[in-house]
Amino acid sequence: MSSHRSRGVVAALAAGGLLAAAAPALAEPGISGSPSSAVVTTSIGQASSRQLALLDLAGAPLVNLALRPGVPAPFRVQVTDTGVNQLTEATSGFTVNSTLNNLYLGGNSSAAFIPSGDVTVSFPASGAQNAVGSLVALPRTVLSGDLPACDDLLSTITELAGLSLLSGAGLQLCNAVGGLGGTGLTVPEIELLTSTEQTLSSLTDVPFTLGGQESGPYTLADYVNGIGAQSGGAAGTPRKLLTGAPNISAGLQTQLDALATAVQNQAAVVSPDGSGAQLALGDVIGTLLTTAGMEALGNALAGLTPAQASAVLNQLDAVVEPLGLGDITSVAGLYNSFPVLTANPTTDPAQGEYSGTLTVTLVQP
Amino acid sequence: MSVGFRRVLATIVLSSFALIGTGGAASAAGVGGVEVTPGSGSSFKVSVSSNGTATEHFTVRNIGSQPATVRLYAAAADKSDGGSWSIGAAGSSPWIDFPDRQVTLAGGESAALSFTAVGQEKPRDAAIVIEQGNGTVVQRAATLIYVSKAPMIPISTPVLIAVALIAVLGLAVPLISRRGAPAPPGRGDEDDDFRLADAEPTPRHDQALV
Repeated sequence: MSSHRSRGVVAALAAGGLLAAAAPALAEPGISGSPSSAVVTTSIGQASSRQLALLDLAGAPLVNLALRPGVPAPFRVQVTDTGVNQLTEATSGFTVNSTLNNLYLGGNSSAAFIPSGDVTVSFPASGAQNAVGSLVALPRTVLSGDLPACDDLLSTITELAGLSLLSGAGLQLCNAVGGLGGTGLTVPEIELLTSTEQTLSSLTDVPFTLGGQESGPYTLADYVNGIGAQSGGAAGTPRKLLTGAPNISAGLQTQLDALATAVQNQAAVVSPDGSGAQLALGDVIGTLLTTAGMEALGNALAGLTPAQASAVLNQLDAVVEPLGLGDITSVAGLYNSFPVLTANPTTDPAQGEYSGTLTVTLVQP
Repeated sequence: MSVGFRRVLATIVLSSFALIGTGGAASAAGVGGVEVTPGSGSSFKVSVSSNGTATEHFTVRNIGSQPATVRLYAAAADKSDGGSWSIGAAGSSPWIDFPDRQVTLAGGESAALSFTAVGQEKPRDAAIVIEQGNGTVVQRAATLIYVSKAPMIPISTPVLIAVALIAVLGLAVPLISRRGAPAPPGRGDEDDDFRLADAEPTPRHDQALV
């Protein structure tokens, strides 16, 4: 199964499994009644969201940044993620860059100015950025193993007591595992999604590598936006303030590995009601029905009670795969960068207040 | 071209556009609690022929609980050799028809909008920009529009000749049919109406017209 799994497909397969479970019962001779129906549902998650905010150090929206010559003026760039997913796509990352006008006397772009090149952006040596977040992941598991021969299967699994080798559901199961006198059935490795999303809070690291802090002067003034905008004006020197690229750090991988282990340690592969099990019974049966060579087993299991089918499937092994970017279905995060602007006029500007527009742009590729 | 064939061709074309439009889950970017959500994915991918147009629909929504006003416009987007994107000002992308506007949304409110990409010989990327300015600080979120040139359907010379012949036959067959049919009784007067005023001899009905 590809990393871009469609839970819609899984839901459809699960529903197929449930419907298939109903079908044999209806097909039994002597059973009649009105047609039954099942509601097939699949849920599409809300669109993910990424917001940019410029804040002062107190966390209030940044309106003006007063620069006194030689005095560093810090502020905060914050990106907030909600429900971000598809982290294997390069486009799930982001860039925040900035440009600056010349600083004009009285905010008048026709007046004298302090060149934007006299203003530099820098970042603290330590604490240039920080991030907090949580994520939701849906682990994958690989189901495989050997089912014993027919008579062993029926004699050792107590839930199958009462099934006949010669008729009905017992015969169908017997035929599916190789028939009387057969050697059993080897189930090849089948990858499935586990049944329950797992939430990881208080991440050691968010699943993004933050960086991109680009120190230096705003060499070329911005004439595209703000106070200094001119028709046909050129863009100013961009200075990156924050970037985020999807990545799993060693610390986060340790947390994800612990999560996978917790899922692995669940008592059963499947269970009649899904509790305490890695996989949903319907998902497994549905997958078997659409796996080459396993269709007969799927059909046979669909004709058993949930307890019986679970007992058979619990003879198999289910190994949880290591979690990666593709298994993360949702990220909520708060990413901060702390740029510092410092103005050091190289000319001898006249006394007064000089203003220019700092334009900060979040680019979503 | 038969109606049936036209229907088949239309189906093929529409299917192609449907394939181009297929994408992943939508992802939004914004400022001030307002964001732009493409139909799918985190950006717009538009394919338009050099003399055509293509319209993309998207949603603007206020994810906050309070009313918010933002400025919305299309702008040029240029990528440097280093991979950085430079986003222009409002009006810098005339190949994207999307008038500069202010949008005010109540908390939780959404609005459906669209832009039209106008085909160019050399496609250029652009962005839909949400902007909110506070004093001398302006914050923007740019959702990129990747513009590519739609391939023209290649038409080979034999096909062109075939199409031309079909067109000629399409015009000629009705004409031949009409001239060759014998005049029904009592219709001679109608035929006379089509004679030239100088009473030039009318064509014999057994003469083929080409």
